[in-house]
Amino acid sequence: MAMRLMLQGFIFAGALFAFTLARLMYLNISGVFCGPTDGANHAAPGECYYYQNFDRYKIGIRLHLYTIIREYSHSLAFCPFCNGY
Amino acid sequence: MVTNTRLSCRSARGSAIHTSHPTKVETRASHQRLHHRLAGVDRQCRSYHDRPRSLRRNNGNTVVGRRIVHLDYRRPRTCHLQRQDAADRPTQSMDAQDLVLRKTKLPARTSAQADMTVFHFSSIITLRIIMIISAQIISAAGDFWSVQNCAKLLDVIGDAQTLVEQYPSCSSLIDDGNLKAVAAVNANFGGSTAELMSALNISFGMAGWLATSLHAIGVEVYVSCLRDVLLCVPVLMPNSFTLLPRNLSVFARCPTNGNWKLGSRTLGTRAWSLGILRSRLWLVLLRSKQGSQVRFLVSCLKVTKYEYGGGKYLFAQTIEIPGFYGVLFQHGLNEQQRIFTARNKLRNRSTLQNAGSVHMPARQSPERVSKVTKKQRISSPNLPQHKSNTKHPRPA
Repeated sequence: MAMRLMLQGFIFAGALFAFTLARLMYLNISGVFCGPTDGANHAAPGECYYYQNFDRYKIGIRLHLYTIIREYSHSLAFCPFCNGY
Repeated sequence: MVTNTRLSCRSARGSAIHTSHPTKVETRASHQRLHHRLAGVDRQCRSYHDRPRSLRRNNGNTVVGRRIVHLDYRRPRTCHLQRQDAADRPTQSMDAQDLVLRKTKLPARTSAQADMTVFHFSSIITLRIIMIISAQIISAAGDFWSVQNCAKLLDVIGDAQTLVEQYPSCSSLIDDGNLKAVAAVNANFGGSTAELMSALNISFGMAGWLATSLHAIGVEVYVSCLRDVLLCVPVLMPNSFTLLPRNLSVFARCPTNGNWKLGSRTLGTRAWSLGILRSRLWLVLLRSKQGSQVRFLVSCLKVTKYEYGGGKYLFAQTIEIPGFYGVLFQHGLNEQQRIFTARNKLRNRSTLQNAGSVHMPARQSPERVSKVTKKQRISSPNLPQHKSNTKHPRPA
């Protein structure tokens, strides 16, 4: 039981933690998120058409991406020594 | 503990077990064995030797373990409370139960759900996994198409000539500047960027719903495995020391001003290490009146029953991860009532007033609680066993 709980803490917390760390670079929208780089570190194909051309989507994607900062602190909720957050 | 079986902390080997020899029972709790002067003279007064330093010095074999610490609490105070019992103070007259285990009527999710909601945030990760898998599936099917905006396609492809070659219906965008021109794009995960976009767009909505519902259901399933256990710890002395398992401190709630408050540590208490093993025990200083009770609501996983040393106990495993261990509780309410019945045949009836005091969940009014508990206390010893079973379904 203890091992199972420990594993699930590591897995869930680790997944969330790694995800937030990986998404932190998307805060650079023009450079990375909608940047010219190839590969998977990018918005989904076609999305940046909206993100770059329309003001409402520019604001929206920024609001969406900035939530990763809060989610980073949420990943600490699994940390027992941190008392939740 | 409870029980007609008396408990002792010492076996022949000196380790802590429960025995059923009433004559050999020590009258001091395991932690009070440290307070020799206090237990011998007056339990209500703290002396110089009862300061916490003495606990730290003498913590060799006496504070044997988290299980024993709880189990041995009752004996000295039992005598005391029998003397001063008052009928109008049902909650303070806790007889044999230092720990009254009840499955509270609150839903099990109440104490743990606040922590479990973080699982919902991870649904975006599941979303991506499902989205990629389903995009590949519909690519394998081959006959999925989605309608895409030609301006978006132009942004993806980047070349007007290629765009018109691949998607001839987009020629109105190129020739006439028609921003409303659309084209049907085949969903192909391994195809061009536009086809990949089509595959992802098709599967995104389904993946989002599926991931959200998966996480919501998963959390509920997990939380439904938890049992909230109302743990009543009596305060032996004013500002007395109460040993609590360390894992009580994380998910424990301590009532303050009549409300349950979620505290990472128990409110109104100071906790520090005993010096035995930091992961094993907290030493909690309860700043409360003597005779009052501190109630903790503990989220437990997997409450198991077992018998040991003639007594029946519940072993409730809490869900804190480091220093993980269970708390040993007395068996459920029915078991308590049955035990009280047996014991009260041996003792006088006045102990009935103390026996089996029921502690209701916090959301009910105290007046109503006292009435109910009084009724139960009076009626329960006369009830046959099967009847009380039907009346109060066994927790866990």
